[in-house]
Amino acid sequence: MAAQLTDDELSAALSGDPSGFSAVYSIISPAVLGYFRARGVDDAEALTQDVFVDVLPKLSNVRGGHSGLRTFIFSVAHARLVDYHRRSARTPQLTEFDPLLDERRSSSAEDEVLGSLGGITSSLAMLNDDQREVLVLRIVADLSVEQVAGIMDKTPGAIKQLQRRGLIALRELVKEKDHAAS
Amino acid sequence: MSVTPAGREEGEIQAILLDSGLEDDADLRRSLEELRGLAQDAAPRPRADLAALLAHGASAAGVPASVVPAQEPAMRRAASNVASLELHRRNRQRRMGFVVGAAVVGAMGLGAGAVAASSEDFRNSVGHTVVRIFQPTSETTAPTPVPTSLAGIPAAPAPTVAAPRPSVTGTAASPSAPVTPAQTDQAPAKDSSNSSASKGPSGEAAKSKMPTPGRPSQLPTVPGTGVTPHVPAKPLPAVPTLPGGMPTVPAKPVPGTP
Repeated sequence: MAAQLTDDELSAALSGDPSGFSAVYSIISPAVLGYFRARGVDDAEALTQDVFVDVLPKLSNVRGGHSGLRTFIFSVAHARLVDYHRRSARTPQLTEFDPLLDERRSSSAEDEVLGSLGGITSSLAMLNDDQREVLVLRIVADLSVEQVAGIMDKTPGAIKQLQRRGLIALRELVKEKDHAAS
Repeated sequence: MSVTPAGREEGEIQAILLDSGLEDDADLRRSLEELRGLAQDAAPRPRADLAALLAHGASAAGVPASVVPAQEPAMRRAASNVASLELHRRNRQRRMGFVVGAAVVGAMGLGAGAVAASSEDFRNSVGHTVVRIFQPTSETTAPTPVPTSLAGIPAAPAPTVAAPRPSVTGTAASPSAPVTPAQTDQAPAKDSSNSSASKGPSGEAAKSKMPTPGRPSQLPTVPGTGVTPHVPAKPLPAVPTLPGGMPTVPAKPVPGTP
């Protein structure tokens, strides 16, 4: 990850001190945001803030130091993601305005950014749901196999297996994409 | 908040690849680094409630308590505003059941009608079965005593056969009932029972069982002399029915005697 919480910040956060909260937020929220983006959530920022609004008041119950804190936050994020997917499966499909059909446009910075992201997120979208979750939690959320096993309620062996299969599938997808590009 | 050395991240990705035995795949590693890049963004600017939570940690406990329950009643209100479709659905299901049942019955009726219209055999057989169903059981049982009596007693069959015959005529034609009490004083009770249950063939069946002990004294003469002269002597209206019975009576003793 980009940064690590210091022990002081951690103990402050766990004791309900606002300075600890802001440290936890500024250090861990990018990973949570990346986690939601990698899973293709529409409004990843709002969901990230939901997670922290939910999590920060409950930090006093957290045990297990740094890894316990990460596990707790990503457990909540995982649950929120499951909720999001269920909710989005129920809500009607939104048809958005198609900018390609609109003449009045200039190239947008968002399009360029999304185009650069499109590579890996579109490949990830083609993976099995569990494999994708394991890879995102392992790489984006930077969790260990045991932590991911705890969050997904599976055994570490199953997580390793899912990770292996996900990586193999991802490799195939990347190769295919390279072939198509060349 | 210093940026962690890039070596650590690479080491982790390397470890993940090693775990799965894919450590020498450069393309895959590049993809995973790209994936990790998603987590390198700056923290999103906190919205109002989160900012309040971050700023006032002490009152933090109060903030979510006011935020979360505020959302829940809103959802509950929204749910109460939504008209429930449950009752409507149940009604529709019940109606659906009736409609389907009616359709099935109607289709079966149409099918049977079509078959009946197309084949005469079917019509005949259905007619037969309907007749057989609606025929009282006594009529079907009435013929059975005749062969049993024939098989059991070779000499006596004629009385037993003759006994039902007059009774049949008696039941068929009501005038025979007044005639029989006048003729025979021996079995007035039987005849009264005849007349009371004159129409029902069940009465006839009861008679075929009941009168046999009483009648033999009268009837033994019938087979010896010949059936025709005796039977007309007793009941007058019995005469027309006997010709029908006639061929059967001589036919039966013949196979019985040898």
